[in-house]
Amino acid sequence: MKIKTKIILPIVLTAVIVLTAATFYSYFFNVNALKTTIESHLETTTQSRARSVDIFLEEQVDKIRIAATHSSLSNEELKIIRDSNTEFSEVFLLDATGKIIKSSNEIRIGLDRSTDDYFINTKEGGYIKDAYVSKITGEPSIAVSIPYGQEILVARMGLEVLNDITTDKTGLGNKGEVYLINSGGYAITPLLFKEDTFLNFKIESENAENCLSMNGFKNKEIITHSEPEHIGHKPSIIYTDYRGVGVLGSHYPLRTMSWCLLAEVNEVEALASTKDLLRFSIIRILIVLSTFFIITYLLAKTISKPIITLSQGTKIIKKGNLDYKVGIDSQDEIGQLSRDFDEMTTAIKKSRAEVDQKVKVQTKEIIEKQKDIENQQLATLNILEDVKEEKELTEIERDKIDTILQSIGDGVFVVDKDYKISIFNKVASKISGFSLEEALGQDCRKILKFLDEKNRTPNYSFLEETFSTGKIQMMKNHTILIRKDGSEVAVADSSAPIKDNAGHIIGCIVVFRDASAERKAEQIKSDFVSIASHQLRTPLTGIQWVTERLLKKSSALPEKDKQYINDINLSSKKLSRLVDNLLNVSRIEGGRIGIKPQEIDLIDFINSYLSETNSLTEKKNIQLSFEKHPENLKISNDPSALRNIIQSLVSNAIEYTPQGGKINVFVEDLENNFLFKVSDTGIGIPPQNQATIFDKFTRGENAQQVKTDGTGFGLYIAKQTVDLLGGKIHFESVLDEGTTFFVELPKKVKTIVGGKSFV
Amino acid sequence: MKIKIVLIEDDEILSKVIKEELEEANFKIYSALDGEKGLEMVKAKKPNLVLLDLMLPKMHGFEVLENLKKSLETKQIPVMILTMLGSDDDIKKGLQLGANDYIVKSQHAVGEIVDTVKDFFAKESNPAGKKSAKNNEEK
Repeated sequence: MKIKTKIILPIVLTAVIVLTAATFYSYFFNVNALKTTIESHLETTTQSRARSVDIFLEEQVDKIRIAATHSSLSNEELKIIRDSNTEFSEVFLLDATGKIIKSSNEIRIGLDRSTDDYFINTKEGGYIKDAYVSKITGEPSIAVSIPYGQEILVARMGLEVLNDITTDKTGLGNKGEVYLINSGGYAITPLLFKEDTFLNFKIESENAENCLSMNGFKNKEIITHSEPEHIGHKPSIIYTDYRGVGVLGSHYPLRTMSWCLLAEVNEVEALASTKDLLRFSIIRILIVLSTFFIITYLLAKTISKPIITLSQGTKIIKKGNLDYKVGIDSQDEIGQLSRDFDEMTTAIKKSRAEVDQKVKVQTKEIIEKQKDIENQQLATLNILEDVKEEKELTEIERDKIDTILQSIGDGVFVVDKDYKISIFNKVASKISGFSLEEALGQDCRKILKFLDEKNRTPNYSFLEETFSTGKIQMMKNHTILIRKDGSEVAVADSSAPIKDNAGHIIGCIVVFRDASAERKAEQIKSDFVSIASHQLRTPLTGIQWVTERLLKKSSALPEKDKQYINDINLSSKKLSRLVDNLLNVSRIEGGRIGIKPQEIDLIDFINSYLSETNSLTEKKNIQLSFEKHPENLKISNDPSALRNIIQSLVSNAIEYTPQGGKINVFVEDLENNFLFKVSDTGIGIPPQNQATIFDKFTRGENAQQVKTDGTGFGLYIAKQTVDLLGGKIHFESVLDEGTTFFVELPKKVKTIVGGKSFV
Repeated sequence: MKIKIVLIEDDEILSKVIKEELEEANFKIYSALDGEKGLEMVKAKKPNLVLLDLMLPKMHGFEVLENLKKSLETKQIPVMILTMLGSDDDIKKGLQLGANDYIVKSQHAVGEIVDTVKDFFAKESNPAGKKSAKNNEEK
């Protein structure tokens, strides 16, 4: 409810209630006052009219009494009496029998009136006969009578005078009337609204009944003149008249006759003025209320206008216009409120500006971050799509690979960087005894126990080296796998790195096979070679030793025989050497060469070997020099391996250097390494053989012509040995001019356990 | 009194050549051609040195060596292993079982074996020279 309404409504309501109450009170008061006035007027009217009727009747009685004072009454004299009293229509004299004996109208003499009231009831002082219809003229009449000696004097008269009195409407309005009724309630005087009612229309209204029931109403003596008493009746009342119309009425009984005088005014007409009063009152209420409303409205507006202004201001501000000022500059409370509000708005604007600024900055940041995120999402989506595509492709590839891997006859498993198994084929399962389910996702080092057969230590160096070098690695020889049931199986083969597109090693594929059979075959071969070499050597040693003794003891032998014996000795030595090389090759290829480094003075070591070649160099007149070298050079190397290299290179140089040639041996200290160099002026290595010169059984084509019994083992063994020692070997050669071999070896070589030495 | 050496070598020729060489060098040689006999001979003769081949019939050289080293009587007798080239594992095992030295037969001229034995006894009386014998064998 608006403030304006709140102000206007109670005031106007109060005014309406008060005014209405006051107006209606005054209205009813006025109506009652009017009624009272009308009632008292009616009472006065009935009383005075009744008095007039009484007086008239009493006058008529007096007139007849005066006429009775005449001494003799002739017809003529009766006529005079009639004429002198205008009201009298006829005067006549009855005798003691009731016959008209004299009359102002002679033709009526002789008529008998002995049954008439005025004959029966006349009395001294006079008698009034109640209204009646004249038998002769038919006129409504009354009669007065008085005894005249023995006779009775009667005067008959019409009701005109009474009618005049009652039909006078003065003070009764247009619809008011006064009339008389007799003791039976019948109308005597004319009624305003009904004709021909004389004595034949009974008035049955409340007013009439009240009057007729009054005490002392009947049997009145004209002489008494007593006033009737109004006991138990209101003289005037509102009721419905003989027609059924609402009237205000009053009654008054006559003192001369048992008659009642009734006066009635039409209620509507009488109270017409009260309607005006009501109308006026309502108009007055409306005027007052309008005035009140207008004043209140203006007042309310004065109060509510700034409030509305303030309210509208708050709405405008609420919509965000913080620049808006309510600006009510009054000195009252609302003005103060407005000013406070404007200040508050300013404060809000200020703080909002700050907040806006912060929000702006933060929004900017958020938008940027959002963009970043969107970009990232986009990138991620792209990646995901790529990944998905790749994944699909990969899956197809993987299926293929799986099929291939499962079909492969060797055991295959793939590990990731953490050695977790991701692929494990059937053969791998068969060899190891572990099912695919048991193997997948497991660290291969926990499930697949690869051991070195000899020292029983775990051997995953092939995997570790694949990861670290990125190169294919062979399993060490003599690797065994402990199967699920604890049994051992010899395995062999290799591991290869799996690289991603960027070349990073992401895993490793291991191919292995049950090498029991080949290991066994190898063992047999190895045993055979060992036994064979042993068994070959024993008789060879015998030959050598016997020939040595023969040469030593048999100085008497001819020189030619000695030469033969020497040839036998040399041949057996060559044979021994061949057996040695066969054994070495067998061991190299079987991976059964061990390296056992020990402290060696390299210079002494070389000199010691070179001294053994003296007989050969002398024979071919070759100048072998070992001049360029450090005074001494301490190294840590395997003597048999080192000897193998030196022997191979020096003996080759001697073999392929023609008579009178030169061989130079050099040693150079290279800090961590040393360089061993053998340079000759030999036949050289033909270019077409250079690439394969370190291969087994390979010899230079020219070498085959020079020396037919070469085995092709020498350089092969030398190269293999240099590799085992972690060194490098190469050569420079010019055909028919000479060859230089360069061997670079670490001063300290690493131990390789578990194998046999070179022989 | 001559220094007594028991030579256990199954190859008759090698045995004969070594025996002759050593006898020429003034050693007293008792030779056996199999492990069992060799062991009996060592117990019987109580030599100053045993030259022991490994690949022996009837009883392997290592078994002979173990038996010698188990018995209080023979425990102190030095043993030198005779072996073929390239059997360094055998040498290693022999030394672990208590052999004092070794000779690689195929690598040396027979004269060198005699030198080695001589060196051994020279070293016995003069322990400082122990190393020279070993160096010899590298060649």
